[in-house]
Amino acid sequence: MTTARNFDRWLFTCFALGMLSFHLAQSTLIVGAFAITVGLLGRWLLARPGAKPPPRALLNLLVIAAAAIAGLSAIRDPERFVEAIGGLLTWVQVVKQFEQPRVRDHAQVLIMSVFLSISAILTSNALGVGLLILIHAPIAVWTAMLLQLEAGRRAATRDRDAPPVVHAAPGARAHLRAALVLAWAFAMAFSVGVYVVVPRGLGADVIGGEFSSPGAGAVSGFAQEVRLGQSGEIALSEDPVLDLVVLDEEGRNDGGPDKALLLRGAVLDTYDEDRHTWRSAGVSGFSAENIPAVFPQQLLGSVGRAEITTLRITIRNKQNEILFTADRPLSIAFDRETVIAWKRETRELRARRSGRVSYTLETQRAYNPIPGERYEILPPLFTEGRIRELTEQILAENELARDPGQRHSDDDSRIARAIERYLQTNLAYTTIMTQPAGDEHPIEMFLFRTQQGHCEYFAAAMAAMCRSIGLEARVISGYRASEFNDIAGHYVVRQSDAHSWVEVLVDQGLWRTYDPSPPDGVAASRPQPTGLTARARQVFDAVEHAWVSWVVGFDEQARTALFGVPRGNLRNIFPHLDSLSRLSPTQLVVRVVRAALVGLAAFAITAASGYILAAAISWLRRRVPALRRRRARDQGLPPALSKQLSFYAALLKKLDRLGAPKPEWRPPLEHAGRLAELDAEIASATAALARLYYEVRFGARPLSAAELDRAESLLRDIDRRAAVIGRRDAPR
Amino acid sequence: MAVRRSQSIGGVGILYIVIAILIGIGAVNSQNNLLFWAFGIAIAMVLVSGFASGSALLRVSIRRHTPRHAQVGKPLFIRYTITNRARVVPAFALWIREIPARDDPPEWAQRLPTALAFCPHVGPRKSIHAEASVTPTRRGHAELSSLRIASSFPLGLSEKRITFSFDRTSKVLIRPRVVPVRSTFIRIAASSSLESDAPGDVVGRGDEFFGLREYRPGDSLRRIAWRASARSDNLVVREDLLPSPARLMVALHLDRATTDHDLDEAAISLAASVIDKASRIGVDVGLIVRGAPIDIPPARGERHVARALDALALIDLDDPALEAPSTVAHTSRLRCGWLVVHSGRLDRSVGPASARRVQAANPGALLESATPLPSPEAAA
Repeated sequence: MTTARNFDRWLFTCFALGMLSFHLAQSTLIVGAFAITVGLLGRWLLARPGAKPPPRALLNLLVIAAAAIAGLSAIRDPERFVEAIGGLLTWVQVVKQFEQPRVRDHAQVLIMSVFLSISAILTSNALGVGLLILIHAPIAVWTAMLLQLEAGRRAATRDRDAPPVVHAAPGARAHLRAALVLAWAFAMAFSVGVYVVVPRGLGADVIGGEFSSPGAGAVSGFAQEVRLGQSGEIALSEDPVLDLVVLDEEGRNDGGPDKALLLRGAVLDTYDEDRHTWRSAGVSGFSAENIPAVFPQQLLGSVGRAEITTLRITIRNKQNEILFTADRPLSIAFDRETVIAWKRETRELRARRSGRVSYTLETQRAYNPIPGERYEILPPLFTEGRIRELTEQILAENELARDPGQRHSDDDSRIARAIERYLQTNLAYTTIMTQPAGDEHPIEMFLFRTQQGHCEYFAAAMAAMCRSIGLEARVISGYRASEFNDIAGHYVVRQSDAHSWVEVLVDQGLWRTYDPSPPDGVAASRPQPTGLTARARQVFDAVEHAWVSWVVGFDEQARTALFGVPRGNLRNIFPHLDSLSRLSPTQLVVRVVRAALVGLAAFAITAASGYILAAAISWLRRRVPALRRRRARDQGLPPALSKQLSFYAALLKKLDRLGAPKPEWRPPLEHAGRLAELDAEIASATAALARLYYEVRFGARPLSAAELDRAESLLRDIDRRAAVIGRRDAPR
Repeated sequence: MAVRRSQSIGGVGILYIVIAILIGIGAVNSQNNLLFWAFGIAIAMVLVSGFASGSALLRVSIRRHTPRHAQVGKPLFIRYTITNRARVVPAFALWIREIPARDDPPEWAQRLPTALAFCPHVGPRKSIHAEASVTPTRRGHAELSSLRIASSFPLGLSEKRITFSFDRTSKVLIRPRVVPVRSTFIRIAASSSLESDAPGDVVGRGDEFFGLREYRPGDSLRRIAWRASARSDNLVVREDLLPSPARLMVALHLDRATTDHDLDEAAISLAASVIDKASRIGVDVGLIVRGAPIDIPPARGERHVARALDALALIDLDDPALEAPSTVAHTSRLRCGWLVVHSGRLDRSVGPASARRVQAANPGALLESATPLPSPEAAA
């Protein structure tokens, strides 16, 4: 069975996939690529004739060094335990590539590659990592199967003086493939069953929350303060950091390409004059709430008849405390039990959870004053100087006036709008900033000298201008969700969508949002792909969203919805079970099957894309002429001669099917002699073909047309005899 | 034939299950959905492993084909025919291992190390041959009674086994080790048989006159006896007798004064080697063992050598008869050269006085250079 001969290649594929998945999860792909290259080098060095592996003592020393480094790293920073273990596994596997391979070493490399993939799962749940693991897992099973065969073959032929014949019956390879397909199909179906049936939330963080909810994408580049006066260009990546689905009161998707939504993050209501920084007032005023999984927690009361919007937010890789909201958060529900801290006055939400965080938020926009709403009084700023003068000039131009001692006035809304309009129309948006000269104030530099800046300058300037005339205003930093994916019906929020704007208190308890950044400038700073590229990106984003929502984000809410039991707290698991027990067996079966099918479909779609990719690569390897030529070059033959050797490849395949594969170490002619036991005609045909092979391979003589015809005829003879043998061996 | 089925989970399987449980705990603790999926896959693979190895062996049967003879130091091939009578399920990675029966003597394992064959695949309703190569280490009868088929396919987590206990055991007679010996030594030892210059009893081109006969076409003109032809008016030719071939009698003296069986084995091996070599170089060779009912007159040929080696293979070193005094009738074999192989001290009562003698502990010039003795430690 030549499949076992390919064992080494499959094992190396496992090694490479484990490396790639772990280092993709760690965002250290270069390290992974380096490790794979070094491993490849080790294999190449050992494959050379007469090559000697490095001394085992040296290799053991390297392993000990890697273990020591990993141990120290884990002790120094326990939160990076998985990273340390993954690093250790990486280097041990690389060292193993330099050892003379024994079956035990093969098994160790295979197991370590699987462990690396598990470490990758602990670190990241991103789509790329998931796809690599979905490809790696069946290949690991296949390699384990081949390992069983290879171990047996080596054990049985360890007597090198007289190795016994080890061969398989015809059809072995097809049966082996069928075994893999069946085993993997069963494993997938079973695992999807486990995935769907196991209740979520039970036992979460029982033994610590260090490895909870790994991220499912890029870390958000979100800043919790606005620091002015720095030079350079803002360069934020296009990596998605957040998924947002907007639903109206009826549960219909309320998003659209023409609707942009501002997601509030940090509320920056304090200005630090020395550091020219807008920052949050601190942790005072926050109250902690423990919110059980699924169960929504009430935050603020509803105001009037304004429409309530539901936001389903998934932060792919949360590394700070900020939770994003919009307008007035009425209630919040998490996929798992979560402790939040929230501040009623500023409507800020925080949670210490890191990694992927999914939550559902009910929000409402207030249009009218809210009597009785408590909030801190924000003191005036820049009451003297050019900023104040400019503000008053704008008010005068708009025939508005305001008494700084007055807390509210009827014109506050119009004043804020006038300032916003001024900034939008008179200043330019740019992502490149220059440093203030000497003791020049950054906001003054922006307003009077450069007259261009990015969103943080616009927001900071507007807040400063409002505060200079006693109008309470604060800078809000968050994300501007404007890229609507109409395939999946969600907003894709990227790092480059990070934005700052202003909230102004225009009436009793009524904070209104103003975005002074010129919309055209903001749009121009983020060139969107068009045409086919845009569509391809949309498709990819939709697949990624499906992955994050349905596979990674499958929570108790989705699970209970799938089983048709009412939503609720996990404490209600027994009532749920009770309601299930009241169902008829048919209904129960239908629900279980439906749940399993939905889960299976989600997996199948994501897995299929990976498998198609793998198949395409495999197809390309066979078809692309350049690769074929490279293979020929490896054999040291001109391509024309190499092409003629196809009859020999066909011969090896046929012998394999016959259950008499040619071991690599045995010359073809000698193998032909051994086939006499099987069938004299096959032996004779094989010998003739072997001689032709020698002519081409070692004599570098191209075969004539007649000789090629003869080779074809001999192959047909082998087929004919194989059929006879097959009939003879068939049980009667 | 009794068939017994069993199953076990090895160290790898236990480790795998522990890791699977840890993944499950990790999944519950972290609520990481991909870990839930990995846990499902891990458990599914345990089930697949148990089912696949069990169902594959459900309808597997085996026949053993054992050769009748083997030789110490030379590979013995035991062949098996494995049949999978299942309609659909193929069997993969079958390990076939000979196991000693409970009542086998303990030295069984010394004679024949465990034979191990591997069969990568047997399709449904198919039979396939597999063979095990094993190198016997001691002469004598080795009995193959039970054998076991095991499979841990696909993942090596659990091993399913079927033990077949056959009603009729297969016996393999393991002949002594044959080491390369010098042909010159044997020729010299056998040359004493030629000193008598006695003719043989086969007509041929010898020097001894046998008689005359009528000329037949094809006879050499040189063979024509011209004077006799002239006398009888017919062409007659002269017939001679072939000279008698060299004859060597190998006498084996297993010294009972020493209890070192390794030296006895070395002596038996030397005797076997001399017999094998002598036959190959055209010397008639016989065998006689002091105290044992083995007295094989000199002859040549494969069957003769096999008979002598079989006799050597069956010598029971614990047989008290070996301690009996010499009963070898030297006179009946005075026309032979003699080579006496002593396992211990030289005993000149064994064999005629003119016999050449070799000690197992110090075979000297008998062995080809750099040929290891069967038991170098014992020889030292």
